[in-house]
Amino acid sequence: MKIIEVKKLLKEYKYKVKDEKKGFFYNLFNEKEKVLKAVNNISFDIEEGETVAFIGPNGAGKSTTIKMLTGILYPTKGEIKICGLTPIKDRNELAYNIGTVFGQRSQLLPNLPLTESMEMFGTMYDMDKNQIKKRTKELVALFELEEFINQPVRKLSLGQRMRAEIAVSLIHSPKIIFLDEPTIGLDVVSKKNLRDLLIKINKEEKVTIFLTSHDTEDIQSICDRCIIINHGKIIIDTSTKQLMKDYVKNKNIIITPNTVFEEFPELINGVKYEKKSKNQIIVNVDTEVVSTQKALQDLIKKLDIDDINIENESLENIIRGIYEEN
Amino acid sequence: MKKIKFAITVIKIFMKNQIQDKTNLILDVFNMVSRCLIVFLLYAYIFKLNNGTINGVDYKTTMWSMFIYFGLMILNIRRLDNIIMTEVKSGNVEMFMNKPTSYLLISFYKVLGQGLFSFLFISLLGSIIMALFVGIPNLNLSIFIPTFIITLFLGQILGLMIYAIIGLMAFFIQDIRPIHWIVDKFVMILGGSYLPISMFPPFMKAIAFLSPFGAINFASSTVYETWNNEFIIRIAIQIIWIIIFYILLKFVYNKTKEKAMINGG
Repeated sequence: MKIIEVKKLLKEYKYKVKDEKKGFFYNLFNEKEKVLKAVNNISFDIEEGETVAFIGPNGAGKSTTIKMLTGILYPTKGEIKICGLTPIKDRNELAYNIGTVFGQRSQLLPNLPLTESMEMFGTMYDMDKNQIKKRTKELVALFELEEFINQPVRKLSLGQRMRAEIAVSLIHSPKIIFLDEPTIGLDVVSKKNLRDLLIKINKEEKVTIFLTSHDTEDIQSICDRCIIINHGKIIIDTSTKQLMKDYVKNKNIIITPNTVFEEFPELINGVKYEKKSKNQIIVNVDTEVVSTQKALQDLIKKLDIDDINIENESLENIIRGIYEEN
Repeated sequence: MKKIKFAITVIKIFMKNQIQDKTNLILDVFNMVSRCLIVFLLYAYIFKLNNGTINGVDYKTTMWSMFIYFGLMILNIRRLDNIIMTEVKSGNVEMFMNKPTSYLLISFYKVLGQGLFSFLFISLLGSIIMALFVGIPNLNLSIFIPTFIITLFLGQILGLMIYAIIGLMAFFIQDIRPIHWIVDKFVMILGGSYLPISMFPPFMKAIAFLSPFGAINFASSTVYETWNNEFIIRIAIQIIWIIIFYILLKFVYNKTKEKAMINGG
């Protein structure tokens, strides 16, 4: 069942521009208006239970899209249906079906323990005291919040706070959760914990996840599908696996020497050194120019090798390549 | 019923949130005591120079009027526009714009919750001190008590609406502080902050009587003898301004939702 339907969505911003060649008074009365298309005619559907990464460089239109999907911003044109509801018209009803987490913002009460925020938001979603208590218990267990549930929120670490933010956004058991850069600023351990939790809520509570992030690890570990947006337009909409398959053009070969590398011979066309050191060489193979097999044969002939590792290009590089192409 | 339950819960929680930091209460008490002390001593001297009455009003009544005004300042609904501006600038406003309750209602409860404890604490304690040291003015309690509660309630609703409109302007202009400053000074002057209303010249009294800025603080006029003859018209004025500002606020809020731009998106 389609839980999110977006058709020809457009968001324009108008802004004033001054004529640099003219003076202050001319510009005061003759300001020209320019139109920026932050989101330009995008369409996509998302099935219930999907985990979707909505990615793009800064200013691509990701946050604007999320804000339109959650009813915060009015679209200029186009149609949005979330759980069959139109965000702008049915904003209140929609609120019961969605949860939102914005990585750089907080909805928690800083001086009070997390339970108070749970009570406030639970009451906001028409839950009675028993329902709030029961749901809080579930979320505390699911998100392992026991250790800091009674601490004032301002005393939590960033990792703990983000877990708390997500838990609070799930108080009313929404069908979809929108996450805008949820792992921003977190350390590697906290990031991993948060990713595991998101996978868990998707599997155990069947919550549809719509995520934006600049961290490719978030995308790779949480999301089955990637929608890439740039300059307000969708440039790729495919499964994460397919994206890796279609766009892996380069491979890295990591070579360890028998003793030490002293010479770095010339390599065949399509193969170049990424790193040269006495203890390790990394070469990059452009598979569109030369096959990995041929490159390997050439390297074995030219170098005294003890061990070889072949790695696919990272998702980060793939996405960077896609951004640069577009 | 659900809405009332939610309002009480949110006000209670924000009150708890505020109480956690005891310095707020201490500062509010210090603020009230220092204001009252300076003004009361100053006017004690001025009333003495005028044989105890000015414009037919005695020292005791005037001081109670000013005490009520200062008490309302502790409730501090005037910071609502600043709260909204801060949330718009930081982008935090988006956390509350997709909730089932209106962002404005949440902001109203928030500002009330933040000021309510200090207001209640200081008003009760201050009233006892006032009764002991200044005395109790001659009041018709059967009129004073209900009309005081009604005008206090209506005045705060009107104030919240006016300051919310200023706050919402933060979506369109970078800094609302100059507008806040102008409106706030009207509210303060016409509410009797600098000069008790009893000492106003007739045309200023008329402005305080008819303008929305004066209507916010009508509760401070409930101690005057003239109140018994004019409370109906005063309450009617508050209701009329509430209706006007409700329509205006709804219009501005809808425009805000349509045109809103939060942190570039």
